[in-house]
Amino acid sequence: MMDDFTFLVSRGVLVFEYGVIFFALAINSVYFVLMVMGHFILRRERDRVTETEKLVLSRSPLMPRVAILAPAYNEAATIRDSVRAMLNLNYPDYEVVVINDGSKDETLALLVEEFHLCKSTRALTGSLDTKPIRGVYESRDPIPLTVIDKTNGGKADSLNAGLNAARAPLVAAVDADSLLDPDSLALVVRPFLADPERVIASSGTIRAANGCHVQRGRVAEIVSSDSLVVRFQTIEYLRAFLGSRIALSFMNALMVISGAFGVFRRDRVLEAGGFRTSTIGEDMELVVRLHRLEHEAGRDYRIVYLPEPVCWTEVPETLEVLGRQRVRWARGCYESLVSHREMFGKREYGSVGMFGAPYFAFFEMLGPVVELAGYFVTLAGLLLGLLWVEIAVLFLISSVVYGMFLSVGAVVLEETTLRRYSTVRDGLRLIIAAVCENLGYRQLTAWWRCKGLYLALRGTESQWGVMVRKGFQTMGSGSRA
Amino acid sequence: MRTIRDSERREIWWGTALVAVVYVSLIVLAYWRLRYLGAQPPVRALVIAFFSVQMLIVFVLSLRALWTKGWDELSERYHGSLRPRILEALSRCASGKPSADLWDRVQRRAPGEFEKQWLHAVSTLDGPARQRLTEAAHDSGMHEQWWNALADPERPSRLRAVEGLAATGDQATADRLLPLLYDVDPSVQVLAGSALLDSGAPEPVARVYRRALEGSPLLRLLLEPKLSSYASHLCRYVLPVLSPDLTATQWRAALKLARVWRQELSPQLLAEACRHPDAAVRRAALALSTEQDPADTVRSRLEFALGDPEPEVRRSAASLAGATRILSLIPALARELDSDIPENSITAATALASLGTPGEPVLRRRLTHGAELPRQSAMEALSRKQLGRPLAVCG
Repeated sequence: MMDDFTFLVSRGVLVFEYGVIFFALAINSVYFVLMVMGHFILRRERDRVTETEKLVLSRSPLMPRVAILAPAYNEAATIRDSVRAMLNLNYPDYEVVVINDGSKDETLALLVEEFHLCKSTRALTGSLDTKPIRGVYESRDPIPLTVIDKTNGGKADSLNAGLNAARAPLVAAVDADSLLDPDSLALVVRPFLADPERVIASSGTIRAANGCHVQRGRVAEIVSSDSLVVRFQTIEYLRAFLGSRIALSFMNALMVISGAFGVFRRDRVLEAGGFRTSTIGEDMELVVRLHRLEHEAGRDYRIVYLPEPVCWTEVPETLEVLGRQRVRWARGCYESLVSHREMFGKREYGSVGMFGAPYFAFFEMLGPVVELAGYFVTLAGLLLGLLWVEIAVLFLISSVVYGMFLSVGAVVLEETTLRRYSTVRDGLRLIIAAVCENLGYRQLTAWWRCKGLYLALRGTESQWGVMVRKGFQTMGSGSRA
Repeated sequence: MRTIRDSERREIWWGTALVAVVYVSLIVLAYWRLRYLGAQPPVRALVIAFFSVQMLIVFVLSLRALWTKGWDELSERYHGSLRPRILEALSRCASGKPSADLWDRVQRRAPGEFEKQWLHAVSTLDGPARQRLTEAAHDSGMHEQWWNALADPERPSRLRAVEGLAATGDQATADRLLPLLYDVDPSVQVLAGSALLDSGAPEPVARVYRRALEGSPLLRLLLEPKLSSYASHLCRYVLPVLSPDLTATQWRAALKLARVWRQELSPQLLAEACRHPDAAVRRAALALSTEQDPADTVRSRLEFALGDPEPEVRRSAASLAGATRILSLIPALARELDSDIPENSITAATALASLGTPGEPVLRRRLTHGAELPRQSAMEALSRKQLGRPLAVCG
């Protein structure tokens, strides 16, 4: 009797393990295919925008006006550098709208002092509901900067306030702790000019600014950080942006435009009802909603990702802050997918319904759960003698080794195409980090994502938490600004 | 070009070896365990081959990536060593004492670098020297290669061909470049357009202008700096010929370009544009009209436009009324200030503030007696004026 039970459990564990191995192979193979697609698309698109073209784009009077919306909450450490970077972009016609979301630190005071702001007013042209606005500030200097001071209501609420105040046909949602490359805005607006009827949103690449040297609000020297946690995140960003977003964008199935850097047609965002305040992943939710509304309206549209325009952001350096961020992202992904579950697998939603939504649901949302379950069952099975070592090795190869391969692939893709890191040493450090990332860090992020999913399923109230900012490393002094 | 230091070279080798050892160990371990599992040899081979091939690809690519800088340096050194001889061949040819043997030899050894240096030389020279170089390119087969490459499916080849042919600048080339204005790749279109504009011949210039009006805003934007050299000719002579066939989008583009170039259109053409059924065309025409028409015409056009059924036209008219400071339009602006469309109300308020003292009473009245939107608009316009900030309009 006991033998029968052990046999049954053993068979069950084996079947589960085979299922996990199959899932891991499937998920990694899809990533691999997307990465190969990305490689070819990147090689085709590389050098498409020449320096001459960049120069024309940055000066032409025919460029459309853009309003950069930068919500800021307790960003005293980086706000001056970030706003300075935004004011120094190579773009002929834009304004910066910083939305101070009821910061408890001296964010507003620093802005007032640094940019000589004084109180002004601004009538709102949008009709999105937001928390009360306490005041509008504008500079006495001839700089296109407006600061909106409002009661705390979260990032989505701040962006909606910015949308109401903006008057340009295009709005760029940018994190206030980020630095935009000087040409990034012109490059990210380019698709709106190339295909004005169809393109409704575009985004650029987000990269870790930690370790890089910043001079007058610009990243002057790109260096990989000494912190291993930052380097691991650099690999993750490379894998996400160069590995899958290029291919997803090519298929018009891009479901995330990072909140740190995305440009939208203002009329379409207002028509969609702005950013949703009830979700913590407002960036993904908006993009999924735009996809849905465009399909339902029967419009031919494009949401694009471009690898060349870069936004530098300070990523978490401690596991505690990183953990909170990842929990938040997982919750955001869940909330976005659940609130638009009608799109799942439906042909009428095109590539988003048939590929984008299932990809995110199975691989991004459920992937970590299956992976962690695989580790647990493998370990328990080995300890209890219910599983052969050979199967465990196969699982290790299909998940961890394949993961290493994909991470190294992302670094190689970066080095063979964009080559942002100038020294061989940086490239090498990233390759080593790509290998090590799969031995501990990846499992930790899977745990955080599972936790996020669990919290979302329980319906616990979403919280942003506190991001500890160090500020950007300034050139020369080596100190933090 | 950055040189790889010895210390970095060591790091490359050690790092690559480390990664290789990890990968190979895992593959060997997997193979060993699969054997004990009793997997059939074909299955074992398939699994191992699957991973090995992928890993091999990554290794080859990563080594290539790590060494690309080295190869670049090597190729630069090679080209650098050849460059004096290339320049010698080119300068001999340009000075009228060509050495066919030297030319052939260097062209065969480094065709890309030779082409680059030839283009550079042609762009810096003029007169007979340039002519000699062009003829030599023709004789040595470069010209023919470029002609053939115009239909090449590879974009870089087409770009190089257009660049090369543009440098020769003969009329036959212009004819060959015209179809490239409709190339699938916008960069090729722009390069071909620029080359045709450089030729200066009236017919190709008109064709490029037409293509710029038909094409995407990006194409227009990229061709605009070169087209601006012919702005007067295009607006005065080419646009009237094209106008009967222009679509609303093309009309709008033509009017916008004329405004950017500060060019005047014929009164008939402008009047026609002001009556166009498309609101965006009427807006663009109105803007141009305020810059070239006499005050009376502008006033009557703006007055008429302030009663236009399309809110966008009324908004433009309000903005232009502020810019032109026509006081007789104050009543119409006051009506627009009470519009329930926020953008129109704000623009009208801005316009009234721009008019100075005569417009201010209307705004002040709205601060105390008016609906919420006109009050907010008036407040914004007055506060910005007080701050001395430029008054911004909507959209």
